Amino acid sequence: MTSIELRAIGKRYGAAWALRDVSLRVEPGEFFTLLGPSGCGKTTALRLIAGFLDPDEGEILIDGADVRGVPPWRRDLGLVFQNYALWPHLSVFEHVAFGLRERHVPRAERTARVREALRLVSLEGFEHRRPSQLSGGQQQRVALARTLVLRPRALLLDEPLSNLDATLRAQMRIELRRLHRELGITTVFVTHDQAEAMALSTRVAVFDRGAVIQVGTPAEVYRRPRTRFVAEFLGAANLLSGTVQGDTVRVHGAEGRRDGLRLRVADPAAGDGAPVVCVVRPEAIQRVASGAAVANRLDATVLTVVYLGGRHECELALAGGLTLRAELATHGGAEAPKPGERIVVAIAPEDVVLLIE
Amino acid sequence: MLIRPGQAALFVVILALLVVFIGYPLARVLIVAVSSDGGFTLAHLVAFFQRGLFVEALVNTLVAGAAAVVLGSVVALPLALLLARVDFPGRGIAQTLALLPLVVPPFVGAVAFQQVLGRSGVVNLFLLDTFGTTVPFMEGLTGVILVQALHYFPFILVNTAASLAGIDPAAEEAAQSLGCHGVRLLWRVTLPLALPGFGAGALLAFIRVIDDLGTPLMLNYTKMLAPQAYLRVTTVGMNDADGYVICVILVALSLAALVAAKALLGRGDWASLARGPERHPSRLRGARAWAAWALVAVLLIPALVPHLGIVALSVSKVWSFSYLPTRFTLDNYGEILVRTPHFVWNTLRYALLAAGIDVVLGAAIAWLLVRGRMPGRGVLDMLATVPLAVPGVVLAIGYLRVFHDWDVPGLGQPLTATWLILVIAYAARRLPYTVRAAYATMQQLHVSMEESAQSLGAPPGRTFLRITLPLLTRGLVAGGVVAFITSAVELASTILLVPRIELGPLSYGIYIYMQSAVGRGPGAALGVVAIVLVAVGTWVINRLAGRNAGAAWRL
Repeated sequence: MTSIELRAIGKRYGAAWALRDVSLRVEPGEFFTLLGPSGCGKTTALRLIAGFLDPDEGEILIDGADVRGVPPWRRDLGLVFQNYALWPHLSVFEHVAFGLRERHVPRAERTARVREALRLVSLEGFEHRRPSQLSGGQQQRVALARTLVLRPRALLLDEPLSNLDATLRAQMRIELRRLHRELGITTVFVTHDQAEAMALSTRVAVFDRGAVIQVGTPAEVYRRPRTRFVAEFLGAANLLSGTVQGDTVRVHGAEGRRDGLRLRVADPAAGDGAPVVCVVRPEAIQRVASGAAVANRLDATVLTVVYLGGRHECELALAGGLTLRAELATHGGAEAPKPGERIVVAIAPEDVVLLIE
Repeated sequence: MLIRPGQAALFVVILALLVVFIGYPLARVLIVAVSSDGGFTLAHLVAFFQRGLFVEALVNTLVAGAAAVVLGSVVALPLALLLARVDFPGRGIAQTLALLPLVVPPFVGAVAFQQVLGRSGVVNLFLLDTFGTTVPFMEGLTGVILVQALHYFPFILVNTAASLAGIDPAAEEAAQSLGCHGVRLLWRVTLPLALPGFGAGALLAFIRVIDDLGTPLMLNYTKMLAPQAYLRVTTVGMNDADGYVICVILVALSLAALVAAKALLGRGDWASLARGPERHPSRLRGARAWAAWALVAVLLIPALVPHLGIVALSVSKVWSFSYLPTRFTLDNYGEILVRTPHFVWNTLRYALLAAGIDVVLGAAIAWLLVRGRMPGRGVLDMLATVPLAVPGVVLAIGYLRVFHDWDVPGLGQPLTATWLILVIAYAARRLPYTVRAAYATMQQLHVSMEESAQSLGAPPGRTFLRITLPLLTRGLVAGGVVAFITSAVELASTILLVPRIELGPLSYGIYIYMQSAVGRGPGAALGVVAIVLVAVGTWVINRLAGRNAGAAWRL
């Protein structure tokens, strides 16, 4: 199994830095996701690993060996392109056999391995089809089979699901997870879709403007974002600025109003008077009975309600002119919130994440 | 849907024009070829294949077409790869040089090649002086193939390069990441993907070669189909069926090649695949850049040097049996500009008129095809495309047949007795250029642009004038300039249709001058004028169409 490491990588296009001082290590057998908005440098990072670009600074290690200057065809990595990059003049079988022929694998073994690879991606019986006779999902499987058949050291996936419709995308997501579990192959996955990253990854590296902002398991980056960008990019988040006071944060009211509110936090992580931003996920806000003895009990007025099935997305008005986005679960008998209704909500102290700015 | 009367009237008028000047003359050629005493017969067709001379002409035509394509590909393919895939200092210049052969009318090129490679040309003089022997480069079919290959290879180049540029970079990167690179990558992925463009270019060049009358005539080699058709009609007469049979065979060959080319380019499985990002080749420097230029030089010098001969010939008093002209003069230019200025003047007015007609018709036809709702648009489309596959000889013979003995009311003489017939022939032959230019642009204009004008109160005619036409201008003018320059050097239909020598255009003048030894100087001077005309036109196209300048030569 293969490890991949980027050390202090810098890559420039003309005068603009596409990547700057990027370091990260993909452990053997990991499903590692490079996540970020378009233009953040994640695809550049993948192409550096694949060998289609050379870094201007830093080094790239695969299994501990520096691969700078090694051309793509000697890196033994399986790259799957966003648009699949199938060849219109070759059949499915010829696609999968392509790399085997480059490696002079004897015909009998070649045929056997192609069949096995096609079985792995459930494409048996499609050997003689041309790419144009395949659906998007099938094209995707051909692109996968074509690389997997070579048993590459690692699999590099460049937004492989973004050209599929929603149902197929969910299906291929499961498929990718199964393949990764079955083959145990080190996988680097590029995406801008945080839900995809959450669903698939062992660990995630969040990219922004050419830099890695945070690396961690999906739960870590979601629950403990280190910056405002990470918090907002990984799902919806309420951001409330305030100052630390003991084990609470005094949240400032909107537009400089003095009458904010006070939130108890699990770990203040900074001394009194330090300016911080509280991150509160919408689903961390729970409706409670008016007399309930819980921390961070807040009186709120429901402004808007959107029914999402199983839960309601609400906009809540709090003291100090603050508004919160909340996703309130509708349990069995619980009544749906109505616009204008006054309710009581609570936020567990451990669900308030502090960003020191 | 309601069809507005204005649209219907426009449709009927244009359809009538195309039927009278394209459909009907071609139909008459076909009818004469397959009828005898008013009844249908295949006897003429059978007779064609029983005549040794005709079969030889057919075989020679096919051989010339195939050989010119093969030889042209040898030049064009490496150049296409180089220009499409490699960046080096001066690449733009190399690109222009590679298109330059198109600038020289092929029959002028034929004269130039004679001067350099002919029996007493520069190269053979050198071989004779050095080795005591000569090589018959320009004798018979060899000469025709050589001239045509080196004239028409840019068609292959431009189409292949376009195809190469259109390949998704990821398709090649995928192969690289699977272990395939270098020559194997070229062979297994790149070239197969460029095959449709190459095939289309090769077929276009093939059509041009078999359609070309000027080159064989200039080289005095007549055992090919186009010269045979010309000779039958001019020597045996308009009622000889053989000439028409040859025409039908010529059209069938071109049509088959055109259909094949369209089919190659239209292959859905090629077009339907997604496209990746732009490709940015790295720029070669130092020794590698010089190597690129060396390759360009090796490939282009044979095609370009002979044309310098034309310039030299135009300013020489005496140039025979010597490497370079021995005495220089400007008399040749005096001759063509003062004594026989009508050649240049006629060319300008015929070609401009024809191009103007094509621009107007092209815009109208494209509009009717893309936005119109008239039934029968398919017929219009076909009639406007078919001239691509109709050799000039064939159209000219059709015109002679149809208009020869019919006095136009008001003119008091048949069309073929006036210079109008030349303008009409040029306009008919080049119409596809403007139609395609306008059609392509119009397909990219979203219909909502026109609908919003209409909802603001502009009826369809006004909408076309105020919105559509301004947006079409660039493409249309570029198509018009192509029509102009190709008309200006059209020889095939010209030599059959010129009513009197003083009504002849420049191409006719060159042909007449080149018949005699003393005329070679003035003929070459006219050739230089033709080159300048076409070069200026090409420059204008470049300015108008920018990076897509090659588009005019593509299918």
